[in-house]
Amino acid sequence: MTSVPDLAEPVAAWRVWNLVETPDGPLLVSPVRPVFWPPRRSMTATCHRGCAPPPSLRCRCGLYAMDELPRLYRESAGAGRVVGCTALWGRVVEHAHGVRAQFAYPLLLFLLPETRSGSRTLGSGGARRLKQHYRVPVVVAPGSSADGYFPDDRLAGAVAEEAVRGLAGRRAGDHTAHARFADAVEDLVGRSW
Amino acid sequence: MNIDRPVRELLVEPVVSPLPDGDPADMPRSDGPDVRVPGPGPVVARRPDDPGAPSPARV
Repeated sequence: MTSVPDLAEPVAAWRVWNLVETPDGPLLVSPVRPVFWPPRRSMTATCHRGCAPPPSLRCRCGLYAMDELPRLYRESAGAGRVVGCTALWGRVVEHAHGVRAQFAYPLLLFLLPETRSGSRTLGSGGARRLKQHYRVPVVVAPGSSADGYFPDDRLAGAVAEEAVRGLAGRRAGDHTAHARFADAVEDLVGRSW
Repeated sequence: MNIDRPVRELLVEPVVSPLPDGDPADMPRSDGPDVRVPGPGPVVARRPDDPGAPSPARV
């Protein structure tokens, strides 16, 4: 692989996490390994087979995310999970239905109505704590797959695109960029989900 | 999470940090040189149609 960057903006894709409450605040945890995603710092992939740096084309290591939110929803977004759009960068292996990446950080999180941490159901208070801890927008979704709600692929794609396109503006405090992102999220949640 | 078969490798080095505090110094870089090549625009992972291969283990 060339050492000249192919892209100067992160890839945006969808994934799920489990949520664990700690004395310091709620933590996003991988649903397949007991590894938490650190707040306000990039999540970094590791490889027990020694890929340096991970991921590599021929291995299975890396931070996973899917390209389509509806597909993720059908396969992985069960009760007790957080769904989100995440930025991925560094070394990235593109797959037919998603990516594996070296670094990642969530851009937007959806707290499903049945999202639980331990035995407690998280509501707006949980969303606020999660938002404060990771400093990303957290939205309480109006319904879950168990309720018959499913996100629209086109509107989810618009959210992912705006999450990346408006990143510089939002970081710079551009209200228009924030509004565009909020509108895209509202369309996804309000019109399709 | 089944993301199917690998297609290609990319090196992605965002000019703007995706981290919430936005400090580039806190953002790990890959092992390439400090060269920036603007990409074609926002990239959202999109898939060609192709069902198939079993999902690898992942984080």
